[in-house]
Amino acid sequence: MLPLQLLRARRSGKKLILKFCTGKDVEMELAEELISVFREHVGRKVGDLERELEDLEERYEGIGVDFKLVRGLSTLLERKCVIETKETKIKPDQIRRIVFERAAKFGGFTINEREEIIKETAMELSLDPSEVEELMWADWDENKEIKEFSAPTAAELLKEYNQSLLQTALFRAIRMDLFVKGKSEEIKLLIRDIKAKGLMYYAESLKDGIRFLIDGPASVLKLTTRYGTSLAKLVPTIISMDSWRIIADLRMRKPLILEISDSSRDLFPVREIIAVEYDSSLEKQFHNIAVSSGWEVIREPYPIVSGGSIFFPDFLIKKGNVRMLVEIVGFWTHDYIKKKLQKMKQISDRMLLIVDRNLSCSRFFEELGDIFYFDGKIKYVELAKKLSEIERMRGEAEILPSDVGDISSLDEISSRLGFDKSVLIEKLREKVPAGYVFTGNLLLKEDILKEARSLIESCERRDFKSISSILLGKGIPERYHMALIEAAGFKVIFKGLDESNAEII
Amino acid sequence: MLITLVEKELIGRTTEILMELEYDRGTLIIRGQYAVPFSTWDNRISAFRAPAFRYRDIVEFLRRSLVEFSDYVMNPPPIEKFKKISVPLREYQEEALNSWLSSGMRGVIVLPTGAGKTLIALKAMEKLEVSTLVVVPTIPLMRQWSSEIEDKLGISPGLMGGGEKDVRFVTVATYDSAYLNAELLGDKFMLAVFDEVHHLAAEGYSHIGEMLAAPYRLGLTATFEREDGRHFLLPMLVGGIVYSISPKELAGKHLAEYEIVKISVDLSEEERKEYKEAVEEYKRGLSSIGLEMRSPDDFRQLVKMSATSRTARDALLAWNRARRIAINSESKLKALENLLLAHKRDKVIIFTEFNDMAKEISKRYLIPLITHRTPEKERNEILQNFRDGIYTKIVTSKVLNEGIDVPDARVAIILGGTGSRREFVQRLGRVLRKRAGKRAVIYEVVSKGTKEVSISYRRRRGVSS
Repeated sequence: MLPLQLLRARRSGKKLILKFCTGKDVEMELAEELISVFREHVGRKVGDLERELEDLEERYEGIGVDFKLVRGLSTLLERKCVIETKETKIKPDQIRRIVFERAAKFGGFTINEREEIIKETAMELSLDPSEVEELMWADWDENKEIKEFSAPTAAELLKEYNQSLLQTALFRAIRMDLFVKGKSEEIKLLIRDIKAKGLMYYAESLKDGIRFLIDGPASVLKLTTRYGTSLAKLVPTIISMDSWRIIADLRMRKPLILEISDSSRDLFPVREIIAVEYDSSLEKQFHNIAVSSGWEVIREPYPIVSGGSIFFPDFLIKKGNVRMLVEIVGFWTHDYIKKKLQKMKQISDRMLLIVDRNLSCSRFFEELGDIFYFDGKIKYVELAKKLSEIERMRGEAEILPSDVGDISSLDEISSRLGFDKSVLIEKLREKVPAGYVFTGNLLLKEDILKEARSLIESCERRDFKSISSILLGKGIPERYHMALIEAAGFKVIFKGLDESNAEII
Repeated sequence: MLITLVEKELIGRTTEILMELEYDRGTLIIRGQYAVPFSTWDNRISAFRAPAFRYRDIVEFLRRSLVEFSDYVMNPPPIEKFKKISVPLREYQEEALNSWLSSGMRGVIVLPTGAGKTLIALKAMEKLEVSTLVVVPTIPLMRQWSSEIEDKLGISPGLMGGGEKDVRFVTVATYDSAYLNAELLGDKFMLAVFDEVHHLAAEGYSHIGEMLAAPYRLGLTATFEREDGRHFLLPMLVGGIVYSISPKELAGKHLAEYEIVKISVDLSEEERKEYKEAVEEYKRGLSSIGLEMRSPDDFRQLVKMSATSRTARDALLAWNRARRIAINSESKLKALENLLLAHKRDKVIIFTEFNDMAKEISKRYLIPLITHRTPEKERNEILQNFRDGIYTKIVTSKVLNEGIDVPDARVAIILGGTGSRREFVQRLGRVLRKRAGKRAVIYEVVSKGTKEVSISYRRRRGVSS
């Protein structure tokens, strides 16, 4: 990252175009020369280096190279230097103290006695007067010494510069729109990074990847560049992903858009993504047991986007035609459980949950899927039994499990079983379970439909309220009444807003 | 509480959910069925969000509306007991404190430098006995506040800044550090004291004011107004001016009397030539980019243009060169020599505009130097020696501008300086520490026939009598 004054960019309409180094001859030449200037100044004063750099800057400016490029590259190289006050027997502040105390005798300043004071001090410290002059100010920045310099290659320097330039522009970002495609591991790393930097995201699932809208807590309250630096710090993680595109809203003098994608990958340094370790030993335990029971186990199979946030199921397990997501709920805090429940409630995939029995609210997980409880440790025999039970049940339940109940709406079934509603309809069109009718939005027992039809026919009063109370008397919940009446072949004609007055014909 | 909420959600009862206020990184999250003022719906968390500094307004609104709510906002550090402050307040200090208390414990007190703002703040802390954050401009000031707190309130405060990061019941932070850590600090303090509060209105620093939930706020300054006009933010972030008294009203009684002596010097032959050249280059540059200097805005325009235009950049460099010649002129050093000779026995503080000039003076006249790079230990030693009369002269660039307790100098010499009125007032304050029978002298040395003269005029406006 560079100081904002060294940003090199131009405007094109509403876009900000960064002036990256593409490795042109003159850029390579400049980078090489700078590196050798730094190398030559190891063991010398910072002030000397600065003067040399000023000359070099002027020389390159003469051949049309932007001084900001020269300074930008120098800034990066300076960070690779170890700069210290020269080691001396006597510290500069000690010499100063002696000199100032001597000068104090002459009223706190000297015009004519200066030379004498320096000479006396030199005698006292057994130094040369010129050494006193030299060492007395050795701790001023310009007099400090370059101790070490770890030199990059010219090509490395230019790539580092490009990354820094992108980050510098992002200092002025009020938010970032990020489109990524990547392995679960990479996405997880990105999210960890977003959170660690104090940022927030809203995720959306796209046909092809995930869109993250990234900004900070206060961003909803006002447009602020406060989070620009944090956004800039995401760059190394982003550019090492498989596929990425950044669209950032910048506030320079005017609002501008910065857009860049992996098509510019070659401009930037390469960074290896470090694999994420297992979160807990429970995950390891589950993995081992499932594998030895003959399941194919895929760790962190794919991220699921729901309600703006992202959920990473721990595992996908496969055996024959049975597939299932697995989530382990071991470690917990109230807040964690609350968030986890909120996320999982919105996921329609059928899941196996491995839940610590000691969770005070563990029972709330029951509606979310199959549950396996454990106490502290996952026991081999118990889990293996549960897995084979699942295998058997799921294998049999080709279309629908038998427990659909007397009457259900398709929405209810689809959310309960983890099928998408359209998939469910398709399946029902192929085959309806024996003794059931599939009509409109309902799946119900044939008997019930018949009974409802005769009840409605025999009812004298033809208003919704009366018929509804009869159905209720038969134990059919009110929420099905409207659909059931229509399924039985009747029409509901509304007379005003109140449905209880509707006429049934 | 969280668990009950979860249960309610799961069981699907949508009956009454209590209002809940919670702090989140510089903001408040508001859950519940009523909308509150100053809040915005946040889709990312499905709740309302408001800036933390609206905490007090929102709580007052809910109370007024008789809405029941749970408040999880404040999360203060462990409580520490203060001891009683033994020093009594002066009459005007008492007035200032009472005025702040009766204004709902919000607002700014404007007092000249040296009039004892720190003591007023300490008394306010003693009175409120709540967790307190003190925000100060510099690290030396942070240390100074810290030792005052230790001395007067008998507790050692946490420090944020200069490599320290420690939050306690009372914490002193630099503006820089408070800006960087605003999210972390926001829910910890009931009272926020802003020393030199005019800084708070700066674009970045205003975040500190916005991200703190602190319901009680006290601002201290000698100069409420900012040249950029941004002080209009302060009433919102801290409160309006609740008390103000000018140096003139205090001069003689509580502050030393002072006189200002202006000394004009001629540039040397060579300097005059260089100065003229630089000014001409500057003017040529201006006319070729078609810019006329009529107001500070025009100058800002030039600075902006210099980012993209070579001509503008050269013009700006020429202007800087001219300014440096005027400010660092050799004849000024000659004038300085004369003043030093005239005040051989007096304690003198020399102020310069640029570090280079201060270094040159230290080198040439062997006068102890304090810059922002001087290590703390050495700075304290120099100041102590000055106080003890071992050293009688100090040269400094901008470091001693604000609030640092400088031992009582009788003479101040200002060599160049910017046109900012604030800086001048503060430097003035350094030598105005009350000492019986002392009459302070301030010398202002400017170059004749250069732009500096008009800068000096601007600086004195409203200060000299």
